[in-house]
Amino acid sequence: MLSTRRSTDIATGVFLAILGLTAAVGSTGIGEGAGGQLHPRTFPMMIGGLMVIGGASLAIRAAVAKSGSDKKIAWPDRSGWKLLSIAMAGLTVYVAISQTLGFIISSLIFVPWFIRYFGRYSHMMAWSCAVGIAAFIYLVFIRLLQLTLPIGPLSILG
Amino acid sequence: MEAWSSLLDGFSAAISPYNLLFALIGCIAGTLVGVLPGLGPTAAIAMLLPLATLLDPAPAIIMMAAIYYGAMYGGSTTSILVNIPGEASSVPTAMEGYQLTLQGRGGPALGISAIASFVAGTLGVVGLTFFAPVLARAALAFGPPEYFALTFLGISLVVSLSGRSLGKGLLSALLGLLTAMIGLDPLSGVARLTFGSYQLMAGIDFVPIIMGLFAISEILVNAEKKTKMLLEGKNIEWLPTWQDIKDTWAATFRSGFLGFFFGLIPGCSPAVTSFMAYDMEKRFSKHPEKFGKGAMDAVAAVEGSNNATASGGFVPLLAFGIPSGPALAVLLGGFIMYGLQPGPRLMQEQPQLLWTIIASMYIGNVILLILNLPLVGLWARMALIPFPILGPFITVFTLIGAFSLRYSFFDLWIALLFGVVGYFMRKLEFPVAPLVLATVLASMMETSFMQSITMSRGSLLIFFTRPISAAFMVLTILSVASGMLLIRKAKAKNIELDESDS
Repeated sequence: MLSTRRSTDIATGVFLAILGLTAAVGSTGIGEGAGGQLHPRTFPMMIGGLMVIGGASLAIRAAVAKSGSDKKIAWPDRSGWKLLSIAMAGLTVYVAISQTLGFIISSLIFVPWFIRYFGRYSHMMAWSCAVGIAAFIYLVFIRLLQLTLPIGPLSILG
Repeated sequence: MEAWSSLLDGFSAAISPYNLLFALIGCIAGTLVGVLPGLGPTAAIAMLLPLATLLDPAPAIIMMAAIYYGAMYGGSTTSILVNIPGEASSVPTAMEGYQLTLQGRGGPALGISAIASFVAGTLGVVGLTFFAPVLARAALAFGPPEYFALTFLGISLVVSLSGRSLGKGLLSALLGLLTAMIGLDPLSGVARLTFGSYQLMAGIDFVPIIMGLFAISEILVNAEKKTKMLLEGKNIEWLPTWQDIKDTWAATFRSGFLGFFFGLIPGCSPAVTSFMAYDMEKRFSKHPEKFGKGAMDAVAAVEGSNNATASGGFVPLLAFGIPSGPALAVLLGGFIMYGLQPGPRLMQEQPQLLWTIIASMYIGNVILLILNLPLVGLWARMALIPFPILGPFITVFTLIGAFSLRYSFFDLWIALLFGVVGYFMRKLEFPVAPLVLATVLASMMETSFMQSITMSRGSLLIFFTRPISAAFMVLTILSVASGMLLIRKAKAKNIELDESDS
């Protein structure tokens, strides 16, 4: 359905106009500041308004355009969408489990999965990379740079 | 003459093995934090402050200063090789440098970046040596109207770079401004567009946004295509040729001057100068059509301006004790820790220390060139790693970089969200640069606008009655007009082509 530049520009324009409208309406609830010439809502409301105008004009121009608007968008095919969804799901799970398991353990799960799924490399290769990255996180980020990264259950090791 | 003899005295102290050692440590640490995405020089200097207390003032400050300008050298590496700009100032480098990597020219791009950083960084130190007090006084003429006009000019330049997608560039900038409005109002502290979420009260930082738009969307694009190698079937070059150096020297010098002068202005982010240098080079370039597809002169311009801005930032710091950014504010803390207050009195009371630091910056730039050039081939080999192995490394470093900024998991979700936004922006041909720069500059733009309006009691004429701000406003109008003219020309050309086709 959204396969040409015309249709995607119309859809994006409408989406951005709605986003701008939401921001403009949302900014009406912004409270009074501590004085000054302008209210704190001035900028968000102005930008929201400009987005409504910009989004609407993008949609309208795409709708009435004569040339160049039938250009195809390079969307992925069915297997591309599947791979994209799986990569996104993998990233989401990685961020979600990092909060409880910490970055080292989460990376030990995420890295070999990614290498095996997208590259079909051997277990040996995948696990070597995972251990290497976990060691790098510990030695460089935690020990050398002293970043307080969450380490989850590993914190019991002190 | 006096500057020459003082500088020579400074060199004699700076080349002592003890001071050289700490300049080297600072350069290595700076390069390392520059290479690791998200970890800026501010955090690195702050981390090393406790170590600095064990040292004498000269080696401690030499080391901290070296971290600052060393990070500028390192920042280009991941931008060029894997499309992860760790800082907003590296975004134009990523836009051009990564395209060069995909053409097998990542090595030459890294080499040119190191050479441009050296040349422009040294130019900046020359400016610092001979013109510091005079230039610093001029920079202090900048008030809120000038800051607003400068930020407005910066954003309009980037929007005008969008070429035929000017409307989409404008929408991209508006989206960036809107994102930056979320959180507490910078002047009154009132919550805006948070919709009751306490996590949104802290606002949305631009670093996770950049990480998402570039690195995460890169992962998604390559995952979709099941890419095996980034450089499949490409001839790979490891080092820049003389032709590359000849093609980029003018860009390096131009951006060096631009970066240094804007670096003098307190609060002027290197992101502004790097985008300005990028825009200026596109207008000067003999091959503007290469911009966006891998332009070597753009890489030289952006990296040169970054480093010259870093050197320029030392002028207001040393002349008046005014830090022009967060990293220099921490460095100022380092001075104060030793009971030293940078400014005119320090110049009179501790000239030896001051000139030793300035001389060490010349040496530091040479150390960084020597450190970075031999590493170019090694770094460039990173692009030979198969994507299924490189991908998770990029993900982990990107997300840890985004997390380490505020130690917030919320920032990781923001990075993922903007990864998806970046993916769709690529597909739908929306330029990313206006969004990035608008996010970075929004707070300064709004604050300076509000302050200006308060100064003028509500009159917008204040932006046109002060000479510097009026000049910036005129440049803004000219840049928008030239952008529109370019679109008109391109459209006319297309119509001609269409007619000749039929």
